[in-house]
This record gives sequence, structure tokens and C-alpha cells, in this order.
Amino acid sequence: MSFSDSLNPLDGFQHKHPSDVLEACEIIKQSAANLDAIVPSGSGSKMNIGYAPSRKGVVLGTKNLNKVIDYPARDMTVTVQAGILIKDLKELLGKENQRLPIDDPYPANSSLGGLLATNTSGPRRFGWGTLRDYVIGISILNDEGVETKAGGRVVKNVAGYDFCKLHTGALGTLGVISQVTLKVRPNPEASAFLLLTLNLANVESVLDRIHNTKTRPVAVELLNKTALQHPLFKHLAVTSDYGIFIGFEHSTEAVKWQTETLANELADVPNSKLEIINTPSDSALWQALGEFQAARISGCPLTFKANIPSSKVATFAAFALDTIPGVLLQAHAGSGIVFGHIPEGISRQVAFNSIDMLLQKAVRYQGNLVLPYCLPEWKADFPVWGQTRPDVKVMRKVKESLDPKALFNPGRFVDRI
Amino acid sequence: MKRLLDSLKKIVGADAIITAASELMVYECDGFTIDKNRPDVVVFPTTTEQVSKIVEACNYFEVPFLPRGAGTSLAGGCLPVGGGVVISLARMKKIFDVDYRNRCALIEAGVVNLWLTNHLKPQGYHFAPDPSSQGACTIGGNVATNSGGPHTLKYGVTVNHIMGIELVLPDGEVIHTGGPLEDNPGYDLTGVIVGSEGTFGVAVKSWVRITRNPDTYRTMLGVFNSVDDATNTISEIIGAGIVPAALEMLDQMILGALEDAFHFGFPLDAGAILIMEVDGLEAGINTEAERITEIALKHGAREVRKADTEAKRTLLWKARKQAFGAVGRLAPSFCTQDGVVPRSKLPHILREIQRIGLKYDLKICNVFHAGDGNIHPILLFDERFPDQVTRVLAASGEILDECIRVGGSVTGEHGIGVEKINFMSKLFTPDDLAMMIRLRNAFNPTNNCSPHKMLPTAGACIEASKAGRMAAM
Ligand SMILES: Cc1cc2nc3c(=O)[nH]c(=O)nc-3n(C[C@H](O)[C@H](O)[C@H](O)COP(=O)(O)OP(=O)(O)OC[C@H]3O[C@@H](n4cnc5c(N)ncnc54)[C@H](O)[C@@H]3O)c2cc1C
Repeated sequence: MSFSDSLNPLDGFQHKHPSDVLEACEIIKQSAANLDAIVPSGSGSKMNIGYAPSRKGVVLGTKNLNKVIDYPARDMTVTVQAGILIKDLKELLGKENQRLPIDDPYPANSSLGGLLATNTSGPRRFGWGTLRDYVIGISILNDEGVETKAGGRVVKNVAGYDFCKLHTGALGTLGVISQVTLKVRPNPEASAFLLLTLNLANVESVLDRIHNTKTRPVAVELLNKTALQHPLFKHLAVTSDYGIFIGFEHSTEAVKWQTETLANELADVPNSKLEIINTPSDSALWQALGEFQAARISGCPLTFKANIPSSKVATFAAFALDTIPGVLLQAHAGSGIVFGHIPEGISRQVAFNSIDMLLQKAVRYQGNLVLPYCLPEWKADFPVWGQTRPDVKVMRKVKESLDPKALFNPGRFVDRI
Repeated sequence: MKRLLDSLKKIVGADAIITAASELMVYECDGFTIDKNRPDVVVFPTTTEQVSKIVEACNYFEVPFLPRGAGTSLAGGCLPVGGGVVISLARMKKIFDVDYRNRCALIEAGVVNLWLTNHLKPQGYHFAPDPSSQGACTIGGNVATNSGGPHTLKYGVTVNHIMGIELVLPDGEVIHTGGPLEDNPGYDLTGVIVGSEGTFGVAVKSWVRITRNPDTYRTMLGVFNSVDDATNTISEIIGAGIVPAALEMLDQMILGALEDAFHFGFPLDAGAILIMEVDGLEAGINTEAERITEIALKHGAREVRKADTEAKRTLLWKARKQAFGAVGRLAPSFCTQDGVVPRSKLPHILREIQRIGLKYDLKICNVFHAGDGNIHPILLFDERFPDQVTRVLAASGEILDECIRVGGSVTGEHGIGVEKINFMSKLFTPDDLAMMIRLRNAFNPTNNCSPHKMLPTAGACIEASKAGRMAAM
């Protein structure tokens, strides 16, 4: 069995946890001299994403690079080292009644660098955007073991190329993120959900109506019945085909008006049930909706994530359910992102064919479909990063220019870059 | 050049080319007029294929080329350094496809920013980035410079609203990055192309995000005796965790010019005014407006007026957005800077601007995106007097140096262009700049596309004595 097929992708790697940036740079220089692969790692919570590295080398852990560099709360920005855990960042910002409104499935275990490299997002992306909207400055340890920076510490800045965007979602293939400056937001005064449970037949028209609502939801989450039976949601005792959670975060007055207004707008949906759930923005329900997409369901061989037009979410969900009975579905419906956990017991061949059908469907909608989780032994022939698009040529040029020796996470990302 | 012209004619036809010196004069500079250079030819393609062929022809004959939108850049982004071909996108102005349900639109680069918003208005949508030049500037120019505007405080700058780009690479190849959907796998090429100031190729089409109009606004005018009180109020509002839709400051000198032009009824004895706007749902908006009013009154506002009719609000924003135009009433020439400071440093930088104005015996007025900490000191002068030009350049340099010193940047939205190229090595280390050059090489290895923009040329050392001069060149 070749290395890249081995079950633990990081078997045989040396694990290093430099205590500061200088030491990290030394490790990179060493690895570069030996042409060893460098696998940047925060807390290791997202290491299953992508292919296994194509070469052995060093896992460069950033857990000790976790200092708070500067937090001028009144400027609504924060500069921290990338190894900081999300839960620690949350706590820091919370003291000033501020936050980074990006959902992370496992805040206790994940680092900011990892969140950034994987461009993780969740329900709130509909109202609050994604990480690319918050990163305003970045420092990178480059292929020569030198810390380089781009952007800055002010909220508006167009001096130089925007490396913040390039490294967000690059899966650490272009360097090690060492430091980040973020724009932050005030905590909302109040938050609530409207939970609408309904039958398949009405999902599409209801999503269209939510699109045109007088209110301004920050999250529109669609979950199917099997997903709602998961322990995270079981207590809600939903028995219909689908549940739609419409989330609001705003002033108390505006949240109250919005939940009531939307409840009125949706009161006539046939065979449905409406419930207003007043719950703070750090409540278990918000956390559950952020976590479910990354939940490890026992026996689940793979999880897919499709990006499709928001208007096609209902059709796509129905198609997925037809193709893979028992699939657990969650859609960030306003943003056109659909996650599906494939249930236990499906054969490799059936899974392969089903994923291919869903992928083709997404591509017909000008979208794509990737596998954020997949059994390591299936990865070799499954479309882990979906269908490669022609602009991958330019991506390769960017990679070759910034990491000519292919040191960083070689082979893990799109087109095995 | 003759052979290149023949090829260009074949590609676009003779009526889509300008070569006469008198006509080329318009293209020798943009909104930054201190430095000028005439291009050899301007071409007006109407399709992506034409742009691609023009680029190929330029490369074949080894002539540099440069994309141009409306030419409103304030940083000399459109200056054809070394001559060559200007590719004007002005005739590519189709709005192809607006998908309201999925909140995106596909449009050509030459579409004027405000046309798009006007096009979307009947359905209750708009394009959020609203530079003050929005009546003239193009979406292609916005994409290239990552433009901001008064309302980007709440809604984000151009990059937050661009989902995909059709780009003619500097070698003529056409690529599509991103698209109408979010989260395409791979690098966020769209994100780095935005703001690359034409150095990564010609953006011919964009998928833009469209935004629902807010239900309602509360627009207020805070009247202050001093600039200090106004800037303190700004940092108090932001520090209190309020995110207004817009927060703009105008000082006494600009108010006078605006009043002459628009007869809004500005209080001419005020030291400064703040335009403070909140928007969104009707529910809760009065509370938000009251909080802001309270903060302003607590920090020295003499009064807070309301622009409480749509007509008043429209006139107020018209006056604000055309402020640069009114500056012509104050002096024959002006130079606008675009520094950024952390918002809590606004009182400091405004005091510094005043000090620097006195030091160089220059009049400087201020009208700017205060909520973002993005200053726009306007230095008034008469370009017929070389001594004044020298002082303007020195003063501009000193203001920008101070922005850097307090942790800010030299440009919040206008771009580096040629104007601020020598500041790059003050903001960034040689290693940082080397990475930027490596990134440019991935797109534009020969540097034949928009040469001498944004990044200082390797080997060209920066003389301290010239830094000031270059600051506005
Ligand atoms: C009165 C006034 C007010 C202004 N207010 C603001 C403001 O509030 N906020 C703000 O951000 N800016 C402002 N500006 C600056 C300017 O309007 C913006 O930078 C605008 O985005 C430029 O658009 P344009 O179409 O005029 O581009 P141009 O000036 O033609 O070009 C600007 C740069 O973009 C490149 N470029 C143009 N089109 C393309 C393309 N299709 N593909 C690749 N590169 C291209 C050019 O090469 C050049 O480097 C103002 C300017 C004026 C004169």
C-alpha cells in the first residue's frame, strides 16, 4: 500500500509544535532543504479534509502560536496569532460584548488558522457573510521560512494584493498562517428562531416566500426528518418531512417584530406547524445548527457539500433523498449550500454512483459538490474536490509561484495541487 | 506601431480606435492630474473575444497595454506609463442577467455603477458599493480598485459583492473565476483579482451580488463647533458597538463650497458636520437613531438635525457625493489623499492634518468616510505655481506617513496606482513585496499588462527626498 492510501494520513510524519514564529520558520527552512512536506495544523480537528499529503514530512502544529497581539476593542478589530482556539477568541471578544459571527462546528477544538484555511462557515453566513468578509490582515510563513504579511489592521485598506482572500480556504497549501487581523462585530442584543415543520411538497414555495419576506433573517436552515432525529435535534420532536429554522439576530424590538411578522406570513402553509424559539445567540440550538454539518455520524462513510443556487435547494434535497434514501440533509438554504451525511451500510459502488449523480446535478446548476469527509480508503477515486474547473490552471500557477517546491500540504487540495 | 494598428483595426474596426493626438489627450491621465502621459492608441472593444485578441496583438508587438473604465481613478491607475495601448471598456455596458431570486447579476465591465443600481431599483434591490463617483465610474473600475463608498461602512466594499469574474489574462487567455454561486472549490481567485488594479488582466464581466434595499432610513446631521468634537463622536459611536449605515464628516471649508453649490441650508458657522445614517427595518430604528443622537449631543454636538423627508435625504447625499466637484469653487487645483487610521485615532490625524496645513501654508479641507477611519484631506493649490505643487506633495507625504505611524494605511479605496507606489515599501518589507511580485508573476509574468502600477519596480531604490513628491504623482 502506498503512503497516500494509508488509513491515517499523517502516519510517519514528525510532529512539531514550535513555541514561537522564529522556531516555526526554522522548521520550514529545514523541511525546505530536505524537500519534506509541511502540513500546517492547528488543533488537528479538520485534518481529514482533502486527500492525504503526497509526501511525508513534518506536521507543523501552531497550538503554541496563540497569543493575542492587539485588541483595540473600540476600533472593532483584533489581531491574534493563528493558533488561538476559537473558544478562546470567543471568550476574549465576549468580554467586550463583541464577536466574530462565523459558526465553527467545534469551537473548543479548532484553531483560527484551521478555520481560515478551510473557510468554514455555517448558518449565519446568510446574514453575516463568511470569513473572507472579516479577515483584514494576515501573516504567512512562506516557503523560505520567512514571515510575510499583507493587508493591515484597519478596516478599509487597498494597499497591495489581497492575500487575505487567497489564503482563506486555501487549505494551507500556500504557506502557514501565523497571524490574523479580523474585523469584529458587536454582539446582537437578541436572537430567536422561527421553526416551521412541513411536508416535502411545500418546501420550495416556502423557501421562495422566505426569500421575499419583509423580515431579514440571518440564517435559513433546512433539515430533513432523518437529520432532525439526530441527538442534536431530537428534543424538538419533529415528525414532519422537513424543518426550516429561520434565525434572527438584532435588537430585541426588531427580533420580536420579525418573528411575529414571519409567523404571520407563513401561517397559511398547509400541514405545517410554527414555533417561535427565543434563544440567545450563543445557545445550544445555534451551536447544534453550526455543528451538524460536521457531525460524525456513526458508520457514515462520507459527507458531501454541494453549492447550488438557493432557488434549487428544495429540488436538490428531494433529488438527494431519492438517490440516497436515509441521507441526513442540512441546507444553509439562503446561501445554496447543502450538506448530506450518507447513512451507514451503503456500498462503495452505490455511494460512488450516487455521489456522481449529485455532482452532475450540481454542475448543471453551475455549482459543484465536494466531500468534506470521506473514508480514507475511498478517497482515491471519489471526487473529493468535485469537478475540476478550467481556472485550476491559474490556481496551479499561483501555487507554483508561491510554493515552487510544493512544500505545503502537497497533493491535498483541488486537483491534487 | 503601424503593424499593431493594422491588427487592431482588423479586430475592432477603424471606428473603435483613437490615434489622433487631440483625441488622445483625454486619455493622458485620469482623476489624478499631476502626472500625464499620452497613450499611442485607445481601443474600444465590445466583446470578450475582441479584448482577448487585442491583448494578443499587444503582446505580439511587445507594446504595453492598460485597461481603463471611466478614468475617475484618483491614483493615476489609468496613466499609460511608457505609452502603449489603452483598452477602454466603455462600450461594454450590457447588464445580461439579473437573478433576483438568487441575488446576483452578470454584467459587463463598462456598466456605470449607478446604472446598475437604477436598473435594480424597481425590484427593490441595489448594488451596495456606492463610491461618490458612482454616476460616472464603472463596475470594472470598482472591481480593479476594490472601491468603497459612504455605505460600505455597513455593507462592505466591492470585494464583498463580487462573486465571479470573466478575466482576459495578460496573455490573452479567457478564464472564469468564481461564478453566480458561493463556495466554489479552490483558491479564491476572484478575491485577489479584485483590487489588483488592472495588473492581473482585463476584467470584462463580473457576477455581482445584489442587495435588498433597506425598508427605511434615519438620516441625521450632527452639527459641531469643532472638528475635534465631531471626530470624538465618531469614535464613540463605533466604540459603543453601533454599526451605522454611513458616517461621513465634512468640515467648515467644504461646507461653504457645498452650500454655494447646493443650497442645502448647511450651518456655515459650524466647525464640522457629521452625516449619520442608520437603515434597515422600521422596528427598532428609532431607538438606534436616538442612541446616536444622544452620543453626538453628549460629545459636543450643538444640535442634531433630521433629514426627515426623502427629498432632503436625496439632496444631502447628492451634496455629499458631489463634494469633490464643489472643490473647484475653492481653488483651481486640488489633490485628495486617501489614508486610513484606526477609528479611535481620527481626532489625532485630523489635528495632524491641520498642523501640516499650517506648516506648509496650504489650505486643506476634509470630507470623508469617517466611520471607516478613511480620511480624504483635500489639499488646495494652483498647479501653475511649481512651489505650491512641491508643498502639496510634501504635505501629502507627511499626512500619509502619519497614517502609517499610527497603524493605518495610505489608501482605503483609491488604490496605489502610480501615485503612492513609493509608499509600498514603507507599509511592507522587501519580503512582503517579493511575495506580491510572485503573485503578480502567476497572472502577469511579462508585466506587459498595466506596467509600473502598484508595486515598486525591483531595483528602483526610493530616495527619501523624493518620497513626498512621488506621494501624489
Ligand atoms: C469625484 C470622485 C469621487 C470619488 N469617490 C470615490 C469613493 O467614494 N470611493 C472610491 O472607492 N473611489 C472613489 N473615487 C475613485 C474612483 O472613482 C474609483 O476608483 C472607481 O472605481 C474608478 O472607476 P473607473 O471606471 O473610473 O476606473 P478607471 O479610473 O478607468 O480605472 C481605475 C483602475 O482600474 C483599472 N481598470 C479599469 N477597468 C478595468 C477592467 N475592466 N479590468 C481591469 N482593470 C481595470 C485601470 O487600469 C486603473 O488602474 C472617486 C473619484 C472621483 C473623481
